[in-house]
Amino acid sequence: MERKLLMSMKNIVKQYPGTLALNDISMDIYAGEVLGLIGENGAGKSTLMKIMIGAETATSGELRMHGKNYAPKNPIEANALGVGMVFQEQSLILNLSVAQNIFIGREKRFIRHGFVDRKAMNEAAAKVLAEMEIPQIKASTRVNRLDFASRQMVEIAKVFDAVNGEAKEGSVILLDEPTSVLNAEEIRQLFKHVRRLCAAGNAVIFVSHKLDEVMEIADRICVFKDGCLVREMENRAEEVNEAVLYEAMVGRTASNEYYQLGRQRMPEETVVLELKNLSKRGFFADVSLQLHRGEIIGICGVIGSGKEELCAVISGDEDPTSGEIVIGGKVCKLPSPHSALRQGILSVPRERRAGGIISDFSAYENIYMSNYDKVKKNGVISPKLAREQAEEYRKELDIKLPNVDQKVGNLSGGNAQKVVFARVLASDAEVLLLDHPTRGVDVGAKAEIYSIIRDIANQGKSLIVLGDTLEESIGLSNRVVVMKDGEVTRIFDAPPEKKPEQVDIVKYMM
Amino acid sequence: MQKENSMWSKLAFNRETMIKLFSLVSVIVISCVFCVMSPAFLSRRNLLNILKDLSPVLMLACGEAFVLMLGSIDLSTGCIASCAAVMLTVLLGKIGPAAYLVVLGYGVFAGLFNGVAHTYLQIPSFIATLSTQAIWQSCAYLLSGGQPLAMLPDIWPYVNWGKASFFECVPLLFVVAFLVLLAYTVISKYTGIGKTVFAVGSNERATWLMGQNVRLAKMLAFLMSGLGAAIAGIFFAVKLKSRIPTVGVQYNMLGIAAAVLGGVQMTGGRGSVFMTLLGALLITIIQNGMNVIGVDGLWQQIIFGALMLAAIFMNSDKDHKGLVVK
Amino acid sequence: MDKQVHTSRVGEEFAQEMKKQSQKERFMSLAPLIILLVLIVIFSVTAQGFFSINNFYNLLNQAAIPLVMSLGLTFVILMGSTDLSAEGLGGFIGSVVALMVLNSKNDMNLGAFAIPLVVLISIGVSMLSGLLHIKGKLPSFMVSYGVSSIMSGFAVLSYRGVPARIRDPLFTVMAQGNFLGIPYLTWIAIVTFVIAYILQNRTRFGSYVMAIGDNEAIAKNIGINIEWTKFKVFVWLGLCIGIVGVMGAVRVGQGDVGIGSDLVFPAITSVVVGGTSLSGGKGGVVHTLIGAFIVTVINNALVLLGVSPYIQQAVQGLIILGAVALSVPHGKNLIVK
Repeated sequence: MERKLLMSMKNIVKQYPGTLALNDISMDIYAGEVLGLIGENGAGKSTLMKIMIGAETATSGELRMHGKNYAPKNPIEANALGVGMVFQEQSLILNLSVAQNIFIGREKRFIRHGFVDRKAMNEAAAKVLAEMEIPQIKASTRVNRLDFASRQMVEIAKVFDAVNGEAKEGSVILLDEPTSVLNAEEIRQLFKHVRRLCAAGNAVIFVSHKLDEVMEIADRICVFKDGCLVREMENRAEEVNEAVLYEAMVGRTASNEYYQLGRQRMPEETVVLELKNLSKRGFFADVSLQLHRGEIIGICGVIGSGKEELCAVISGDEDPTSGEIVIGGKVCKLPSPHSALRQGILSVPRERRAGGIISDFSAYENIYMSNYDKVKKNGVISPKLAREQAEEYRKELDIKLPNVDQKVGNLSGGNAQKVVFARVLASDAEVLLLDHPTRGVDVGAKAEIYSIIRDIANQGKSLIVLGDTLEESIGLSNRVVVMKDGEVTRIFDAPPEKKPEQVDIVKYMM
Repeated sequence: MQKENSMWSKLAFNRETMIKLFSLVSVIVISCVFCVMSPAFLSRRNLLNILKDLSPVLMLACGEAFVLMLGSIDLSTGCIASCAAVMLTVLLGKIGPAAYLVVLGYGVFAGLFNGVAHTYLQIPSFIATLSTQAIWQSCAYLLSGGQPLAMLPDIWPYVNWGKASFFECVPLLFVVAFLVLLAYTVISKYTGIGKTVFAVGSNERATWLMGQNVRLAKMLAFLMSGLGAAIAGIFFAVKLKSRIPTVGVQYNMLGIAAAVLGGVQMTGGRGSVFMTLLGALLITIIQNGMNVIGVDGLWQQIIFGALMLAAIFMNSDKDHKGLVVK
Repeated sequence: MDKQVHTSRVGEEFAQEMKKQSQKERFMSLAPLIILLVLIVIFSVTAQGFFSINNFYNLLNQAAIPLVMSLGLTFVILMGSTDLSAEGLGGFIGSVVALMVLNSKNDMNLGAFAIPLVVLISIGVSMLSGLLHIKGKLPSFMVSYGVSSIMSGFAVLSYRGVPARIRDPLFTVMAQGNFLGIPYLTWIAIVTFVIAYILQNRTRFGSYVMAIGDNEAIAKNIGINIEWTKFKVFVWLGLCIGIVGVMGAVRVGQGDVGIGSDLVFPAITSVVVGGTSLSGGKGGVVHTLIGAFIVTVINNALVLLGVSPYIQQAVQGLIILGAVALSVPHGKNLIVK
C-alpha cells in the first residue's frame, strides 16, 4: 500500500550556545502511522518537537509538510499548516469551559455583534467531542471540574480541531508524554483514539519514556541519543523488546579506567544513613536501604521510577508521607535542606545554574555558601580567609579561573560543577547526594569529577549517585539499587572485579 | 538574543554603579541649584535641619534595604513608624524613658509579624505588608485618639536629646542614625545570615538547596525593617515633639525610593545597605531645598511620585531571569 | 503486540492525590458564599438593627462605590497584576469634576458633559500607567503607587486647599433621588456589574484575561495578543475609577481628594475575599460581588456594634491576611516573594 508522506525532515541541526541539541536529524512521517519517539532526557526529542510545532526554529535543515516548505513561526501557524501538539504540561485554562478552551484564540466565527455566541460555541464543541467519541464530556463544563483523563481528551480535541479544521490532507499530531497522569483504563481509551486518528489518514507521534506503552501503540520507533537519531525500526515482536530499546537509548562503551575502578574500595561496616519503609504517596513506596561509610550507591531507574523524588526527600527538599530516616542511629525529621545539612547531608542538584550555584556571586563566595563557620574570624565572615580557602580548592580541584573573585555565572559546565564540589567539600557533609553530577560536563572534566568522587568516598564519606547513564552508575558504585514505579526492585553488588551487566539491570527497570 | 543579553548584563553590573552615580551627581547638582536660589541652603542651621530630617528616612531605608535584598518588599514601614511615634509620646508620659525600650520592642514585634505572615503563611510580601500597613495605621489612630497633639512639658526632658548637636551642625539624631546604619551594614555584609539574605534575593532555590536557613534570613530581613521603622518613628516623635498619627504615611514609599536610589536592586541580590545613605540624602535634600525656597508641599508630593517612578525605571531589570513582570 | 499496559500502586496513589486536590479546590470556591451567609447570621444575632429591611437597603447602597471600584480591579487582578492608583486618581477625578460643574469656586458649568469628560481623563491616566507597566516592564503596583502619589498632589493642587462645593442640580438629584426605589448611585453599580459580567463571560477579552492570568506563556502560544489585552484591562480600570470618582463627588457634595482615600483597600479586600486569586486566572466578577458584600456587611456591622472607625482598616487588613493565607498555595520549597 502506498504510504502518503505528510512531513519530511532533512538534516535538521539545532545549535544552542554551548550545546548541540540536534545533530543532523532526518526523518519522514507518513499518514496512518504511529511513530514512537524515545530517548533519555536531553537526547533531543523535545527540541525536535519544538521545531516541528514552531516554538523554535532549526539552525539549519529543511522541513516540508504536504510537499511544501514548512517553517512556522509559532504554534498558531503550525496548527494552520496541519501540525498540532499536546504538551506534557496540560495547556488548558482551568477556569474556562471546555468549549472556550477548544476554541480559544479562534473565536472569530462565533462573534455576533461583538459578543461571543456561547450557545453556538457550545454546539460546535459538542460536535467535536462527539467526533472524538467522548460525548460524555459536556461542552459547557469548566475544565477544572474534569478529571485528568477527561482533560487530556479535551486537549487532544482542542489540538485536533485546531489542526483538522484547516488541513484536510492529513495532520501530524504530537503527543508528549500523554499518559503520565492516566490510569490503565484511561490509557486504553487514549490508544483507541490514537488508532482512530491514524485510520482517518493522520499521523501521530507518540513521545514517552514508558517503553511498554510505546511498544504497544507504535508502528515505528525512533530512538534518540545525544542529539542524534540512532535507531529507527519497525515495531515487530521479533526485533523489538525493552532491552533492545534501552540499549539503543543509553548504551555506551567505555573502558574500566574511565570510572577508576582501581580506586574503588570496600565500604566500612558502619551504617551512616538508613531508610526504613520510606514512602511518599504518589511517588515512591516502602524504600528501605542502608548506606555505609565510604560507600557509593548508584540508584537506577527510568523517569517515573521515583529515584529523583527519593533523593529530594533524603536531602530535605521534600517531605515523605511515611517511613523513617535514620542518621547515625537517630530517627530524624528533615524539614529543610538546612536541617539535613546540620545532620551532615548535602546534595549536588541536577540543575546546576538554578540550584547549584549563585550566578551573581563570586567563586569564593559560592564555595563558602554551605559552611559559613569555616570562613569566620572572631565571629564575622572574613573575605580574606574565604579567598585563601577558595584558592586552595581551586588548586586542588584544578578549577579554571583567573581568580577566585570571578563570578561563576560565566563558567563552563565542568568548572561550575567543580565549584559546586568545592562547596560540598568545604561543607564537611558526610552524606552526599549527587544528581547527574556529570551532566553537561565535557569529557575531560568528567574524568576529573570521577576522580573527585573517588577521593570523597575514600576519605570516608558516603555518596548516593543518580548517574547520567546506566553505565556510569554501575561503574562508580559499590552497589546498584534499581527502582521501578516507585519501588526498589533489586539491589546488585558491584565490586570492581565483577560489575553487573547493563542488560541484567535493565530487566528490573522496566 | 545572546548579544543583547550580554550587553544588558554588563550594564547590569554597572547598573548599581549607574544609579549610585546618578544619585551622587543629583545630590551635588541639586544642592548647587538650591544654593544659588537661596544662600541660606548651605548655612550651618540648614545643614543641621537636613541631617535631622535625613535621620528617620535613613532608618526606614536601611531596614527596607534588607527586605528589598530578599527580592520582597515591605510597604508597612511608614505606618510602623507612625505607630511607634505615637506610642513613644503616649508611653513617655506613663513609664518614662523605659518607653524607648518598649517602642523598640514593638518594632521587633511588627517586623516579626510581617515575617511570619510572609514566611510561614506564605503570603506574598506586598499584600502582607499592605495589610499590616493598615493594621498599624489603625493602631496609630487608636493610640492617639486620631488627633495630632503636642508633647506635654513633663516629658520634654526625655526628648531633649533630640536638640543636641556637635559643632552646631551635626545633630545627635544623625550620629545615632549613623551608628545604626553601621550596625546594619556589618550585619548585612559580615554575618552568615546577612549573606544568606543576599543569596536568597539572587537565587532562592539554590540558597535553599545549599543548606542555608532561608526562613531565618527572611525573618531577619523583616525584623530589621520593622526595627528600622520603629527607630524612625522615635526620631519623628523626638524631632517634632508631638504625636502625629499620620507622620509616617508618606514615608511608606519614600523608604523604598531611598534604598533604590542608593543602588539596591528591587529584584534582590544586589546592593549596599550603606549606600542607602546616598539615596536618603538625595530625597532629604530635595525635600529640604523645596522648603527653603518655598515650594508648595503639594508639588513636593508630585515630585516625589515622579522621582519614585524614575528610580523604579532606572532600577528595572531588563534582562530579568525570564520572570514575568506582574 | 498485546502486552498489557499496567499502572503501579504509586501511579494509583498519584491519581488519588490529584483527585483529592481538585475536590478541595471545588470546596474552596464555594467558601466565600458560605462565609457571607454565616456572617449575616452572626451579625443578625449580635448587632442591634442589622437584620432589618432598612439596614439591608443601606447595605445595598453602601456597597455601591466599593463594588464599582472592585469590579475595575477584578480584571487587573485576574490578569495577575495589581493597581493601587485609585487613591490618587479617584481623588483627582472627584476634585476635578466638582470644578467643572456649577460650583462655589469658579464659573465653569459643563453640566452633564463633565461626567464623560472626567471619565475619559481617568481612562487616559490609567492607560499611561498601564503603558509604563506593559512596555516599560515595571511592576504594576509600584508604577500605580507612584501615579497615585502624583495624582493626589494634582488633586489638592486643583482646588488649592478649599474644596469646591457642588451646586449643580443634576448632582443633587443623583445624590438623593431614586428610580424604582433604588438610589441612582446604586443603579450605576448594578449596571456596571452587568457590563462587567458580560465582559467576562461573553467576550473574547474576558477569556483572554483569564488565560493570561492562568499562564501567560500558554496564552502567548495560543496566539493571544497579551499587550493589547492588558492595555484594555487598564482602560476598564480607568473607566471604573472615573465612575467612582464622580460617584464620590456626588455623595460628598464637594470635590475633595479624600474621595480617593478608602477606595483601594476595601476593593482589594473584596476581590481577594471573594475568591479571586492574586496570582491570576481564578475568580471573577461574581466572586467580587460576594466579596464586596462581605466587606460591606462587616463594615456595616462594625458601625452598628459601636466599634471605632479606626478599627475598620485594621479589621480589613486582618481579613486580607486570613483570606490570602488560605487561598495561596503552600509548600515548604515554594518560592514566594
